[in-house]
Amino acid sequence: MKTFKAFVLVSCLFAITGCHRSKDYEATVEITRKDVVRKDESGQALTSDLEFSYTECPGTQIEVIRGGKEFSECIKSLKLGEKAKVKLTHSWDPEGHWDYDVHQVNDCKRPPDPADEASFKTIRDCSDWNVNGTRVGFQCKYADKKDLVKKCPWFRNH
Amino acid sequence: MAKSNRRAGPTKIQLLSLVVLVLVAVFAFANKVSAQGGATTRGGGGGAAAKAGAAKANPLAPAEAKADPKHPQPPGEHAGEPHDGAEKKEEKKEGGEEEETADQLKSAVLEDPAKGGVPIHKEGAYRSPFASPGKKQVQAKVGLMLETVEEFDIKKGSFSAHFFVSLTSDKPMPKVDLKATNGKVDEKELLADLPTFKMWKMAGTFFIKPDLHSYPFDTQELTIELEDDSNGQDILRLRTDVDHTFLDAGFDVPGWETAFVRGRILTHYYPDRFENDDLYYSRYKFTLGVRRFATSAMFTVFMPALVIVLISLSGLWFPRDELEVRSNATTPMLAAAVLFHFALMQELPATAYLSRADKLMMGVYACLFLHMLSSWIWFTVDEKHIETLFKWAKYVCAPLTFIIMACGILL
Repeated sequence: MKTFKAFVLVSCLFAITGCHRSKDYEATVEITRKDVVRKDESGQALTSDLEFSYTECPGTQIEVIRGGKEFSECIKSLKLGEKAKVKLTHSWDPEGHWDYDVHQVNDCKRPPDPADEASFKTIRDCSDWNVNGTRVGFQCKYADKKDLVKKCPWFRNH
Repeated sequence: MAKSNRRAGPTKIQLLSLVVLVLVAVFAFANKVSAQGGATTRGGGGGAAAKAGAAKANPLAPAEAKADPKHPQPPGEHAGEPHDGAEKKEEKKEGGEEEETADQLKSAVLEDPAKGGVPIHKEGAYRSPFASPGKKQVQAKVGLMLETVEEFDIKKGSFSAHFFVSLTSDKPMPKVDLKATNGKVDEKELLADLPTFKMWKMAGTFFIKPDLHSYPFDTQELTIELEDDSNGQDILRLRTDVDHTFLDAGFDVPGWETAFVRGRILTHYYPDRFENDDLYYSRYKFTLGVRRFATSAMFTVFMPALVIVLISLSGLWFPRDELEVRSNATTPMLAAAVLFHFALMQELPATAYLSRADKLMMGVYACLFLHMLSSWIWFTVDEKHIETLFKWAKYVCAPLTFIIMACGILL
């Protein structure tokens, strides 16, 4: 009986962890903006924003990450328009959906801070909206991004 | 003893349950009928007819209404209410527009008073007195950044929103005053008023017509419609700007998942309000699509309904000797189903069609009726058939229950 209980427990744990297992990815991005947000008395950057877009993924993905002192120092070498490699982790969010965090840009480490509210991402897949064969506007999907998720799986949030 | 029980009629509990059930059902459906009777139409995209009606109903409306014949007061706003400072400012602004409208009317000529006395423009593409012949058309791109959506009430079909709107053009724009056509703008702050760049921060309440066909797996379209009624399409043509239409960082509508964002321009034509009312207007329509969380829908709507049916189904395994237990597994479930359905209806507006949840509940009612029928039939047949009926009730009702519920869920 004990063996059976242990088996059930292990199976459940395996099922839970197996369903929500984190995965690491590496992607190529293009740097579109770089700003120092806060400096100390000596003019050294304390926090910086780095904006980039995922060049290899379909649609529009604009992401802004904010990093601390070491990150600010490290990203000085990055230039606007330059391609960079980012490392990210796709994991299960306690809010009930999948999410990802960028934790490295080229060699610059950026440990995500859970209290950071300034970093954000706009992930959407836009296309023209046609009525009677004429373009009348646009439509941007924030969910059901099938093509995007197929190529860049870390954008999956369900 | 057991034999004498077999021919006994419905028990007191059964009768009591039935009475309660009938009362609850009558109350629930009376409420639904009264809700349908009390449903009112809302102001919005189809406002032109309502606008014409409002003008007809009150031909001696105040100057505010005259200056802006296409935009009467939005729903919920009462003419008799005292005006505060903001409203006075609004009045002043509208007074300015009146002058501009008068300029447009000045160049119009009265050709034939027998045709209604409306002056027309002989030059230009439009004959309407509100047209501006001789002026060049400006194409302006509309950008919108939605900050927040609050108080989304699906029953009222209303929501409030805070957002920024920008207009950019390569040529100088005429004086522009964007107004909401499917609600009312409560706060409007002009942040930039340059000839080729204008920007406002707005907050307002808007109205939509919820689509509940797929409820509880529904997607609602929260629409903000803006139009400048003082400039026809002959001088101002709006264009969408996908690069400057966004949701704010951390944007979220509680209880809903953001599905899509749409921006479109409607070339809007009003049904003729007077002779030669042929001027088109550019209307910007921003739509935020929000979808109900599927997991939440499953647990709040489908799970209770399925549990009710399964409990009722379990009653089929009780033989004739346990009639009381058997009927207690079914009849109270019918009362529970009616109450549950009633609770669901309370959250939604009355509709002329059945939602997915309604279809599911119809399946639940059908199953419960079937299960009750399998017990009631015992009182109508000869005693010797009771055992056969007991067996066949299980064989027939159980698969039929699953088929009915599958239809209720999938159709």
